[in-house]
Amino acid sequence: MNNHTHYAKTSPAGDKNFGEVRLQRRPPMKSNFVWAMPMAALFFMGNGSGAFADTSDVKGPAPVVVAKSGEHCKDDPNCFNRIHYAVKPVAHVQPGQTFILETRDGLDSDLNFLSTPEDVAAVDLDRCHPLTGPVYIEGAKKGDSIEVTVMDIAPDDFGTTTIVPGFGFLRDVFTEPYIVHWELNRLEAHSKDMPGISVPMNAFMGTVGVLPDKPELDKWLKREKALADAGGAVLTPQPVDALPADLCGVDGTNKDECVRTVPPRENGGNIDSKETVVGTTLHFPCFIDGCGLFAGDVHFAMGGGEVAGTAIEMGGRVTLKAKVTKGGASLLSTVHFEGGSQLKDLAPSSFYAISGLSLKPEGELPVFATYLGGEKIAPLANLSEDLTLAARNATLNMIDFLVKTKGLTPEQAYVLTSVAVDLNIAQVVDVPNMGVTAILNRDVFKEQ
Amino acid sequence: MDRRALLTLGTGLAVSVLTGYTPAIMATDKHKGPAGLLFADMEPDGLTKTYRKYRLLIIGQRDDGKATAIAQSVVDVLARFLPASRSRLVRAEDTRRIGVLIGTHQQDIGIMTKDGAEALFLAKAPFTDIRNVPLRSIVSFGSHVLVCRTDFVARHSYLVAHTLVEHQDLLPTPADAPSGIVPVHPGSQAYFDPT
Repeated sequence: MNNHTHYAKTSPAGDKNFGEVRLQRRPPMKSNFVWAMPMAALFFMGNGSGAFADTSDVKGPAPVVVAKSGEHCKDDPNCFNRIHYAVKPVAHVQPGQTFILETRDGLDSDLNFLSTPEDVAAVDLDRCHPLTGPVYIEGAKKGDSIEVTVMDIAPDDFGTTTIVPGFGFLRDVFTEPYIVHWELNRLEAHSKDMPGISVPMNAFMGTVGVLPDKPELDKWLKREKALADAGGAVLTPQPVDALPADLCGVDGTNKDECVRTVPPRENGGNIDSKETVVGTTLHFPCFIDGCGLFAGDVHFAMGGGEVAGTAIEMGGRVTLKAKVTKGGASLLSTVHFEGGSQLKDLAPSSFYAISGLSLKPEGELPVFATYLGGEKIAPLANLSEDLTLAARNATLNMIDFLVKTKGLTPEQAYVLTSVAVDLNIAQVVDVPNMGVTAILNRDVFKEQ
Repeated sequence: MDRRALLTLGTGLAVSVLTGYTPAIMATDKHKGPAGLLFADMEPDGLTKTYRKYRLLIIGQRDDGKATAIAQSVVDVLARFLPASRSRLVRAEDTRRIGVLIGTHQQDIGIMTKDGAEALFLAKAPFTDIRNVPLRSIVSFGSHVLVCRTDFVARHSYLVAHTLVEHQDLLPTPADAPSGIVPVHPGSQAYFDPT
């Protein structure tokens, strides 16, 4: 017995209704010799006449589209930029149903091909990150988990990599605003600002996650406030330009609880995992019924580390499918993801690698360690088990190499490192010197 | 601890003090009593603020040609006659963006229309959600005004006003003492009204 559901296109409004495709279930055709023989004969006769239509008009179930509208997130009812459990869902999807999220660039910017460093210096970081959703996954209850498979990512035509003063891994070294304008297609990115370089498309959602419940949110607020009080790098709630405005804005009912989207947390969010490309599946714990899935900040390509603070940032059209696992949240203390051969596909065909160790000049206080105070750290030339310092040195060494061997400016080299160099952990055991390796994808160097 | 380490630590401390950097401390308004909002900006370790102390960033706006022309001229005059300012142009999308950047401490000083500055000061449209901004004016350009917050260093305000008035022949609109609802910054006040 064939239990598969068959779909056929119908046009109830007659042939005039071309824009609407309605899907109607019909029983499967039973196998029957009496019917089968004449049909087979017709098939063979017709095959030479070209009378058969091809498959391009045969459509599957229509996806749910969470569309983008308006110039910026504030103009778009499907967009928000703060995390809170009370953000209302903008769409409902069934498990297994394909849905499409239309997303904006991570800065919700107005940058374009004519933008200059003067425009970069005026970006409003309060608008990070415009997120599309949340989407209510039917059947998902608090305590369940959802598996979200990335079916497709269609890039916009334009993207940017920017250096924003005060932001990024080497913010103490690269202090001036800078912008690279990328032309994008489904194969590669290239730019007049980076002659001789084409970066292959390895798109993924920089930010993808689910909404927390109140206890989870309270936990985040408490620990981040404590870290802020200790001088740590924390962005506390900021109601100006916060969305949804009625919840998180200046007069919002919960403005002091709407957390920023920059740090990834147990719910996912700004995880920036470059491996989560098309074909991979992400697992999220559900803190609330419906789970409240959201995504945005799509990156066309990114080096592991995103050292400049930005990858190739773009808007995009992300196609997803979700599945519910009952009780699955108990296995997930944070986001998991899995895939097949995607890691092989991401690997460069040619590479150059440079190591970094947890060493520094005596007297220098690394910028990321300032909140700890400099009395102990500054005089040392060697820090103990410090992966961040090792990563910093690997990055600096790679930039130095690119400047000396490829003729790039330091800013171009920093951008290239941000989009096409992976920072890999070499080891975390050879005390005191932890090791990080910067691996350059040499495939990016192409004749234009 | 060797001499170099001590010198480095001393320099770092001096920079912190000079830039007024205190991590994660929110600015509060003083001109209208308790602040209605607590503002935090993207400067977790103070480098944005340090950069803005190193360079005097003047915000213009793309949709107001006159504002941008004034801002560019101000940058040029300061770069030539007050080189220590290391002035540089920043170009906001519109007047709303200038208000957001100054109001949320992402930038410090910019050119606005006089009406726009008063709207920001009074939290009127398009700034109804940016309240209690301690806005001050430095120099008037007739229909436009150079504005900052109260935490802009008084001596810097004095020097900017002095330089722009002294070289106003190089500006598209003469620089003059500000007037209107937005209070004058104390440094600028000291220049225009030394008594």
